[in-house]
Amino acid sequence: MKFFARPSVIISISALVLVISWFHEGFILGTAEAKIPFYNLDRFSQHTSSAWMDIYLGFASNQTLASGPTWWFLSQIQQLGVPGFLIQAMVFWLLFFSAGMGVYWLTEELFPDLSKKYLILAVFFYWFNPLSLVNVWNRFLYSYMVFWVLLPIALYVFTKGLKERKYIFGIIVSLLLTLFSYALTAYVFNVLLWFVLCFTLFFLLLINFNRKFILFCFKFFLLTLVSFVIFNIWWMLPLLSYVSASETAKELSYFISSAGNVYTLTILSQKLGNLIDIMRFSHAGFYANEGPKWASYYNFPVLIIVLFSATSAVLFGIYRLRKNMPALFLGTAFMLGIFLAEGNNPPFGKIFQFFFEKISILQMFRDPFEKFGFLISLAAAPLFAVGVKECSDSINARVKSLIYPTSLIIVLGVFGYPFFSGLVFTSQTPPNDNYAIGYKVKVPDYYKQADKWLQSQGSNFRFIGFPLGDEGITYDWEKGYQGVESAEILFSTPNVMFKTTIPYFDQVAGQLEQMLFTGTNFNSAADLLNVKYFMVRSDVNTSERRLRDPKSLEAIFIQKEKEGEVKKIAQFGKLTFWENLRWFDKTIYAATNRVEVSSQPSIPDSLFDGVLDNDVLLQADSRNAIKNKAVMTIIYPDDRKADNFNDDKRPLLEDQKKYRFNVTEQANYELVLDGVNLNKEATLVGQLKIIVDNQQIARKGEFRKDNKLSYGQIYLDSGTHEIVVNRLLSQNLILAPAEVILQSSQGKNTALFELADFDPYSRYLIVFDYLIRTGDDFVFMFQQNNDLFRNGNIVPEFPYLNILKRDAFNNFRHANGIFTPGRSEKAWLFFGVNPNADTDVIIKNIATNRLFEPQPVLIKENPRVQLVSPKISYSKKNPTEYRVHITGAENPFVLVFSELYNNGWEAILEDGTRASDHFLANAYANGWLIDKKGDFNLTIKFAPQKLLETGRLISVFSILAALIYIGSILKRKKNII
Amino acid sequence: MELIYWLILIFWIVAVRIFKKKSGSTLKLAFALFIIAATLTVFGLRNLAEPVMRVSFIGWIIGLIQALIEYKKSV
Repeated sequence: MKFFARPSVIISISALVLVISWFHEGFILGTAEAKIPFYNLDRFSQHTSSAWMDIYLGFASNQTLASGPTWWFLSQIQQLGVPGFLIQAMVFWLLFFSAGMGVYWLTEELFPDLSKKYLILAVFFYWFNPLSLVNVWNRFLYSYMVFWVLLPIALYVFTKGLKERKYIFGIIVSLLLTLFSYALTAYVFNVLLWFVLCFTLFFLLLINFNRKFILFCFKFFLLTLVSFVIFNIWWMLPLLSYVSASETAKELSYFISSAGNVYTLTILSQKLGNLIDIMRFSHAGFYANEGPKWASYYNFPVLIIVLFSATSAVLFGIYRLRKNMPALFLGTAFMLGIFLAEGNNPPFGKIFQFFFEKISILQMFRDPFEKFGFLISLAAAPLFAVGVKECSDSINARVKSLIYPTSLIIVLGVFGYPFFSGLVFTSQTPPNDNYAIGYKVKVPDYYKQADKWLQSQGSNFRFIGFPLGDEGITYDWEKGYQGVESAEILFSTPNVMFKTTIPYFDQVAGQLEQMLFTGTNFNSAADLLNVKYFMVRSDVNTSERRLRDPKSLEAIFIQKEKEGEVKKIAQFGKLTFWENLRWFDKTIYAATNRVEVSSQPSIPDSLFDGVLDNDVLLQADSRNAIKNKAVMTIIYPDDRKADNFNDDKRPLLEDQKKYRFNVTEQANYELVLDGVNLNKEATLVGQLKIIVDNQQIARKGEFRKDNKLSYGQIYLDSGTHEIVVNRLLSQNLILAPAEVILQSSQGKNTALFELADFDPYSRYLIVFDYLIRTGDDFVFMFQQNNDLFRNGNIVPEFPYLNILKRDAFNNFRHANGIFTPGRSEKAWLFFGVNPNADTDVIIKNIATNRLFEPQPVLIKENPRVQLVSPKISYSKKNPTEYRVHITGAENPFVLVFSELYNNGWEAILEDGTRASDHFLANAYANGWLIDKKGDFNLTIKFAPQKLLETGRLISVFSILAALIYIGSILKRKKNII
Repeated sequence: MELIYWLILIFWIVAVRIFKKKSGSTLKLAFALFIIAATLTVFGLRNLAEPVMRVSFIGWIIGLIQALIEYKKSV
C-alpha cells in the first residue's frame, strides 16, 4: 500500500489514466501545425535529421533540427513494430509524468515544509489549469508540450544549483535543455526560458547581494550558458548560418513586418490581455466563441466563481507568505507573467510595447498571452498549493477538513474534466467539433498503397496534388484530420499539395491550379517543377477550405488525356493519379539557352510560345557572363500587381490603365496581351484600344499559339515607355428581371441569380439599386458552391455589402462592389429578407460584369544559336549532396538544380573551387553558371549540412564528457558516504 | 486612458509612504479589490470589473515590492 502512496506512483498512475482514456481506441492524435508525425515516424525522422529536406520543392530544416533526436528515437521504437498510437500514448504519458515530477520537486524545493498531499495538488494544478488546457494541450503543438515539461524541471535544477552553490547543477540544466531540445524548435521558447532563468538569478541576487554570491552567480550562469551552447551546437550552427545569411532578412520581410507584428500584438492584447480573464487563467477567445462548444460552459457564473477561487488561493498564498522568500519569488514571477501576458493593454502596456518595438527579437512575443501563460502556470502551481494550505490553516477546525478535498475536486473535477473526458482534444471546426472524433485521426489504407506505388516509380520526380489550397486542409476520413497539410508525412515522394509561406514555393504553388484551368500548356509548367504525376484527391472537405471541386479537376484531366498530354495511370481509393506524358527527369540539367524576364520570373512564363523544355528562366540583369544572347526576353510592366479596388469603387468603362515599361535595348518587340481568356473574352478583343507612347496601335489583335493576344512587332528605343490599355467589362452575366420584389408578408423571401459563364479566376463588378419600402434591412451575398457553412448558415467569403440598410429619405440607393471568387465552380447573387420581420424591398438594375484585365507584355525573340548541350548524369547521395557528371561541355552553360533556391547550396568542382555565380533559376530553383569545357564532375552540396555534422560531433563528445564528469562526481560522493 | 493608472500608482506609493503602511495593508487592499472585480465579472459587468482589476493589479505590484524591501531589511 505504501508503494501506491509514493508521489511518483500517484503521478505515474494519474498520467496513465489520462493516456488510456485518450488512446484506448487505438487512434493517433493530430491537428494544427503539429500534423500527424505518429502516422509515419520514420519519415518525420528523416526530415529532421539533415539540414535540407527533399519535401515540397525542398526545404531548409533549420527550425526543426532541434527535434531531430526525439523523432529519431521514436522512429527506432516504431521500427520495432510498435504502432504509432501506442508510441504517442507513451510520449504523452512521459510528458505528463515528467512535468508532474518537475513541479513536485520544484514545489518541494521551494516549500520544504509542505506535505505531500499539497505537493500533489500543485502537480494537478499545473497539469489541468485552464492555461495548460488551452495554450498547451488544446493548442496541440509538440514544442509547446515539451516546453511545458521542461520549464519546471529546468527551474528546479537551476534554483537548486544556486541554493546549494554547486556548479554541477549548471551542467545538469544544460543537459536537460539538450534532452528536451524539442521545445527549442520554437525560437520564442529559447528567449522565454533564458528570461525565466535570468529572472531567477536576478531575484536571488537582489535578495542576497554580496560579493561572493555575485561571483558565484556569474560563474554559474556563464557555465550554464556555455555548456548549453556547446551541447546544442548541432542545431545552433545551421540556424546561425541561416540567420546571418544576407538573403534571410529579405526573404523573411516578405512575410513578416514590424508594423504587422505591432498590429497583431495590439489585436491579440485587446482580445486576450484583459486582467479579468488572465486573473482567472482564461483564454477569452477560447471560452467565448473560438473554442469548442463545451468551453462556453466555463462562462457560467458558478464556474467563473470556481476559476476566481483558484486565483484567490494563489493570491492568498502570496499574501500570507509575504515574508517567505520562495513565495515572494513566485509571487513576483506570477505578477510579472500577468503583466507580460497583457501585452500592450493598460495599465502599463505601453512599457511592453516600447520594448517590443525597439528590440526586434521580442516581436516573437506578438501573442503574449500564449507565451507568457507558461510563466503564469509555472508560478501559480506551487502558490496554489501553498495558498490552499494557508487557507486551511487559517480556518476553524470544522471547515478546515473540507478545504483540501474541495480544492482537489475543483482541480480534478472542474479543471480536469476536459482532460479525463478527452474534450481537451476537440475544437470548433469539423471534424474536431465532433466529440467522438476530436483530434483522433485514422489515415485510410489507400494512402499507404499510393505511397508504395509512387516509391516504386522511382525517386527522381515530384507530383502535384489537387485540389491545391492554402496551408490548412480538412480530410473527410472516418476519423478525419484538420490542420496543416501533412503531405510530407503521407507521401515519401516530394510533392506540391498546398501553398504556404516558404519563399519562392509560395509563389509557385499559388499559381499552379489557376494555370491548370486557364493555361494552354500546363505540362510545360509541370516540367519546370519536375512533376511526373498529378494526383486528384476526392477525400478533402472543399467547403471547409474553399477548394475546387475534385470532379472539375477530374474533368480537366480527362480532357487533357484526350489531348494526349496526360494518362490516367492509377487509382487508390479516393486518389487518382495521372501521368505527365512529357515528363523527363529535370532534377539536374544543363541549359544553354536562357529566357530573360525583366522582373522576377514566374512559372507561368514557361507557357509563352517559344520557350523550350531545356531553356532556363532567369531574371534579366544579371547573367551577362553567358555570352550568347537570351533566346527570348520577356518584359513585364514595372508594376505587375492587379489593381486593388475598394469595394465602393466602380471602374468606369472609359477608364484606361497605364503601364510603364523599362526597355534596356532598342529593338523590335512583340506586344502581347497576357491573361486573355480565349473562351470567355474573345468577343471583347475587338474593342481593345492599345496606345504605345501616345500612338494608338491600328492593328487588330491576333491570338498566338499560346492563346495570348499579339499586336505584332513595335520598335522601341531603350528607356521608359508607356502602354495604355482601355478597361473593358463583359456583358451582364446574370439573367434577372428588371425589378425584383422581396416581400416577407407574401413569402417572397429570397432571390438567387446564377452567374453565367463563370470563371473563378476573374473579378466581377456587381451593381444594383434598391429601395426598402418596409423594414430596416435585407441581405446580399456573393454565394459560391464551396461556401463555408457554420451552424447551418453560410459564411460568405466576401462579407461586404452583406447587410443593406434603409435610406433615411426613402429613395433608391445604389450598391456596387468588386468581388474576387475563391476556387469555386459556380457563383450566385443572393438577396434575402428576414422572413420573421415585415420587410418589402425592390431591387432593380441588377448587373454583374466580369472585369477584362489583360496585361501587356513585351517579347523579343532572338534566333536560337545551335549550341551543344552537355550531357548530365547524376547520383543522389542524400538530400544534401548530389554527384554530377558532365560530358561534352563546349560552351558556358547554366546548371539547373531543381530544388528550392537557397544560398546554402553550392556547386563544387573537382579541384575544390566553387561555382561563384549562384542565382535563382526557373522562379524557384538553383542555377550556376558553369564556364568549363570538356568532361568533368562536380558536387552539389548544401553547406549547412557540414555545420550540422560538425556540430553533432562537438555536441556528442561534449555531452559524453559532461556525463562522465557528473558520473565521477556522483561516484566520489557515494564513496565518501 | 493609461495615464490614470500611472496616477493611481503614484498616488498609492505616496499614500504608502505618508501613512507608513506595511506590505500587508497594501496586499490586503489589492486582494479586496480583486474580490470586488471578480464579483463584478460574475455578474457580467466586465466593463466595470476590468478597471477595478487593473487597480488591484497595481496594488499587488506595490505590495510585492514593499514585501521585498521588508524582507531585504529583515535579513
